[in-house]
Amino acid sequence: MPINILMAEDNPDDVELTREALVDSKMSIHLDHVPDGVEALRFLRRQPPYENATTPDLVLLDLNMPRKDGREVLNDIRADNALRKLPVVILTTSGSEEDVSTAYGLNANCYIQKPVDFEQFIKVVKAIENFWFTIVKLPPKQH
Amino acid sequence: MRFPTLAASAYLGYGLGIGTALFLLSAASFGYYQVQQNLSLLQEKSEIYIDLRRFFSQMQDVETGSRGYLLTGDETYIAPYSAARMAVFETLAALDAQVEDPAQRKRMGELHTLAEDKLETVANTIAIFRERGEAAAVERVRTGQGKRAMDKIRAVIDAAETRQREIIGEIKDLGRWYSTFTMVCLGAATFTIALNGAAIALAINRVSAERRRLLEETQSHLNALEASNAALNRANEELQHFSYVASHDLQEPLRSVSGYVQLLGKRYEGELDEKALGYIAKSNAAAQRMQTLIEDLLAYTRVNTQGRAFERVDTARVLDDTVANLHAAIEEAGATIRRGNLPPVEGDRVQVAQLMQNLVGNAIKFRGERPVEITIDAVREPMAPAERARWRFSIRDNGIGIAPEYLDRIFKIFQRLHTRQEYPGTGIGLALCKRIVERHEGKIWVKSTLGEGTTFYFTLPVLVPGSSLIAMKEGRD
Repeated sequence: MPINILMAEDNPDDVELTREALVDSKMSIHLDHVPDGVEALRFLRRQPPYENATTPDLVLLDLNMPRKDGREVLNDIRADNALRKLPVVILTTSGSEEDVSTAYGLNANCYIQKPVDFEQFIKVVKAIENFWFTIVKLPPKQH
Repeated sequence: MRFPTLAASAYLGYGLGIGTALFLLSAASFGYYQVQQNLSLLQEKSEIYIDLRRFFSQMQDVETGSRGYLLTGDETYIAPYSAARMAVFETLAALDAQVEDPAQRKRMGELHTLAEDKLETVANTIAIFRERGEAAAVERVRTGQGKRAMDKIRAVIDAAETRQREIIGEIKDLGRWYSTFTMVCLGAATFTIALNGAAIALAINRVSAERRRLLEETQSHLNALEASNAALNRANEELQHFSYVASHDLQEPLRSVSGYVQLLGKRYEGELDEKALGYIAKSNAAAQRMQTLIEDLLAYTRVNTQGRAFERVDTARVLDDTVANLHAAIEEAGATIRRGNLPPVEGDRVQVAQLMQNLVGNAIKFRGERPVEITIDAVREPMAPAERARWRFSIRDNGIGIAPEYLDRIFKIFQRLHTRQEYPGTGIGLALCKRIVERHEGKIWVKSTLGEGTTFYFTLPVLVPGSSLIAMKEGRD
């Protein structure tokens, strides 16, 4: 069973680097990508053009995106009955206390600051993979 | 600006004014009293005048009484005659009691004598009438002795009456004078009081106008301060937003560069020569440095944009934490850390910790060949009047020291005195320390001898319960 990750991220380089980091994974991971918050919610709600999208097992959410930012997306996810159990990992550049506090306040599952160093970044992605997909029990799938 | 009140000279003036009014009122009272006295005196002296008249009238009664009897032989004339005789003496006695004027007293004496003579004459004449009959009595009367006596009496009475009128006139004049005096004093007192009152009213008006103006000025200053405060807050928010955005937007491409360069290294490891791998490593290192610089800059701006409210900070505990955080470096350097009594201060705990850690970290980093010894101490700084009391902390090391020509430069941002190969670091540490100390309204400075060691000094506020600094430094989170 492949694991599905939705990555909401406005920087395409970061998406590619994340894909590269996941390349060596033992698990079969399918990474979907949306460039901003509006698309993210459309994807999650299977609205056009994402009618055939699969509900992801994990959402990697950047905080600072155009049109709708991560905070609003998180808020909407938690407000939506169908979506509110989704595990959401905030993966963002910012390390500010205020952002961390806001994210947890909106019930993000956890908060990770993207390291600049690529080796570190790979380690972080692998750790996410390891934690969320081998150690943690994910919520049962809703259809 | 002096708070407007009445000047001392004004008070003196009003005091004098009221004093004068009171004095004039006293004088008026005195005058009034004298007028009253004068009226009594007038009454007395008028009584004398009346008694003089009475005396003469009574003497005439004696005359008419006796004459009546002499003419008619009717005994019914004797009673009034006798009554009149007695009355005369009564009146004379009364006059004696009242008269004070020496000339008058002399006249009273004369009147006494004259009255007695006259009365004796009359009595004799009546006796003659009774013993020898009418003819003999008339003979006696014809001698004119009686008439001459009466004339003398009349003369004295006239003189006395004249003199008495004079006396009464003098008293009346005096009385008029006192009346005038009293009126004048009253008038003057009223005028003085009115003048004083007007002056006081004017002064009060002026003072309250000044106070109103002062209030308005203060209010406009307050408004200006509020406006300036609002502007500062806006500027601060803008700066905060700017640094947040800058940090995010600057870090993204950094990560891309670092990421792709490292991917290059990984993917094509086998195909790249030493030089290429070296380039890759150096590119990465540069990206890392850029990242650190951005983080340092952010930390620098956050000193003020994210400063917390001041509270009690136990610097001894902060040093414990610092030592724990620098544990690895301390061990590696084999450093000995000594400390004196470190007091609680008033400040931002996180920032005080940053300050300590930076300075102690530097003391370890910039070490020489000798075993590292670091001493941290605090003394009470002598206080200038009207200044906040402070603690002066010192962090002394026996490291490489700083050359005197650089002592003023090192607190500048990104200022370094060594290459990165010699000592790592971005050069922001001391600039950060300076900003932190200045947020606490303190000072930071350094003394050093090249090759021997360096001592950093900084001041922090003494903890005072209910202090105003705590209220002022509300955090902007």
